[in-house]
Amino acid sequence: MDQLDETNSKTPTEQTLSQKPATPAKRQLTRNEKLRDFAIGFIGWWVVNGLLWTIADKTAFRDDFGSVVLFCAVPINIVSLIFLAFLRRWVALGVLATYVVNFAMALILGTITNGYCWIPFTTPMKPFIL
Amino acid sequence: MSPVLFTIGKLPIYAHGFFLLLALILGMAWLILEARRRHWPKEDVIPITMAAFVGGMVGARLSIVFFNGWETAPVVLNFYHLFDPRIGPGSILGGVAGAYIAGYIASRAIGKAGCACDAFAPAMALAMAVGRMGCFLALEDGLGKPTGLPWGVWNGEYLAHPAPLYDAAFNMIWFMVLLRLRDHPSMQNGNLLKVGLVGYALVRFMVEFTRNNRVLALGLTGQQLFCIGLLVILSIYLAQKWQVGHRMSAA
Repeated sequence: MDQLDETNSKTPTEQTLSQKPATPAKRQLTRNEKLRDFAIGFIGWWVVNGLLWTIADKTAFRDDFGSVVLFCAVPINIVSLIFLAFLRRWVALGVLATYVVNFAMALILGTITNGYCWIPFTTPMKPFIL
Repeated sequence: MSPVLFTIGKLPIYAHGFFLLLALILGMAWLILEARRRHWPKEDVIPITMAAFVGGMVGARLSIVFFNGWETAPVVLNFYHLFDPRIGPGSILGGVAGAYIAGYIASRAIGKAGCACDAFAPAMALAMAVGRMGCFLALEDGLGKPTGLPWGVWNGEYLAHPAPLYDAAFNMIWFMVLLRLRDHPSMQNGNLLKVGLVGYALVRFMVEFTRNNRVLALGLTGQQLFCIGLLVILSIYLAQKWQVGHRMSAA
């Protein structure tokens, strides 16, 4: 009854909008397609970032180009992951999985390297700073 | 105080890294239990948790530029240092912000209706309580400012406030409080997490007065300014929500 009242109380425009046929549902990906997309994300991240890192590593100390690449890697990675999350969810999950693996490894290795929060800034590790 | 917690053969296991890892494992385990209790489907839990974890790690590191100054940028903004275990994670406040933003984006991307973030609230408090033990044992930032109080801890130079223990004690109590509140009808749909954040921001603001963090402006540290910002945003949100609820009940 409440629902009926609610429908009747709507303006004609609202009724037209609510009566509009729903847009067709997105096609569900098959299991193989999901796996393919996940692999594209997981492997693609290593390929793209490996390439960026190689360029940056070879040039960082010679000119500004390498430094720019190092700085740009943060926004490039974050923005592309957000876009992928909305456009190709399983590719984004693959990329996300690489981060999880990398961070998990860093955390495990962190138990034997004494890396705590401000280490490059409060301890004599200045050579570490580029 | 023992930065090296124990050794395996000749391999030292450091307190900070050990308790950080333990905190994340316990937090994650609690989140999974809570998600199961709330009948959260794993298709939602996995991507949101992964995004929150990654967002938390990235946010923790990037926030160091704000808290510690632009001179930290060459390390902090270098993407590939994100995964360097020698550097350490960064600031918990930045981590919380990053986890929240990333979890929100992930939940929108998968089209989850409503807010699933309440499951994170007790897990976060538990993880922070455990993680702070590592900060204490590692004498992070010299623990705190000098004190003459009977519970002052010798940091090698002076008797200091055991600031990480203040944080840990509050988080342990807060964890229990959030557990008691989690089934309350008014603490659903994101409200539990927001209340959890308000509580932490208030206490963290106070704890900062005993810490050695860098003062940015108005005699306040970056962490305190962050807490004020967080409290303002959450107050506006809760006030708006209260107004809407008030109007609906009046109608």
